[in-house]
Amino acid sequence: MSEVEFVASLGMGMLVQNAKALQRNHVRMVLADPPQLVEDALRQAGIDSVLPIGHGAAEVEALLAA
Amino acid sequence: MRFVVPCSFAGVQHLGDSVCSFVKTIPARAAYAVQLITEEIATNIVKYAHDDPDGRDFTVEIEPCEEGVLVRFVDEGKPFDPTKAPEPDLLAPLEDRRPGGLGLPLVQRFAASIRYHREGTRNRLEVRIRLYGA
Repeated sequence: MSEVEFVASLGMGMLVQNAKALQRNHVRMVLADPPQLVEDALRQAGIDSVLPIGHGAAEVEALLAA
Repeated sequence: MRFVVPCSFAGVQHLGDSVCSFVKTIPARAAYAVQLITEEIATNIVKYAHDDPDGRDFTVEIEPCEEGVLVRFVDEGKPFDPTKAPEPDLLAPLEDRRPGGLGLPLVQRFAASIRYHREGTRNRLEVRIRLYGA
């Protein structure tokens, strides 16, 4: 997500719906490398409680494997 | 700065583009908050203020205030006080999440203060955003 400059509730809802669809197929979704302001908005909306946020390939891969 | 916005999603999109240009001169965190709050409240007006939004419009004014930036929304839709909207469970597990419901909590978290008045046939919402700090 490193090039995402802005996300509001509509985009967050789409992320959650995608994650739900993937979960039904036992696939885990991780939000990788959001810029700080985007990450803050995601956390304020509680998105991080259902979609892990990671930075860097190693952390993201670890979250995917968790 | 005052915008008269057609009550449509295209109107919200155009408003967002205008606001994006307008906030380029203020700190990034405040600019993000102004953009987010404007989009969320404008979207709510389009979706819920009128049973038939065709031909309707609403106004958005953005101006300096003591805290930083004041965004004022005025519409002639159904009475709605966003400060009294129920808070969704932001910690609900993924399988229990439903589409929607995140907009107003985001507004509440990014705003320094929110004031709502019903003035005659109008909803008037004033959202203040700090220029610096959280």
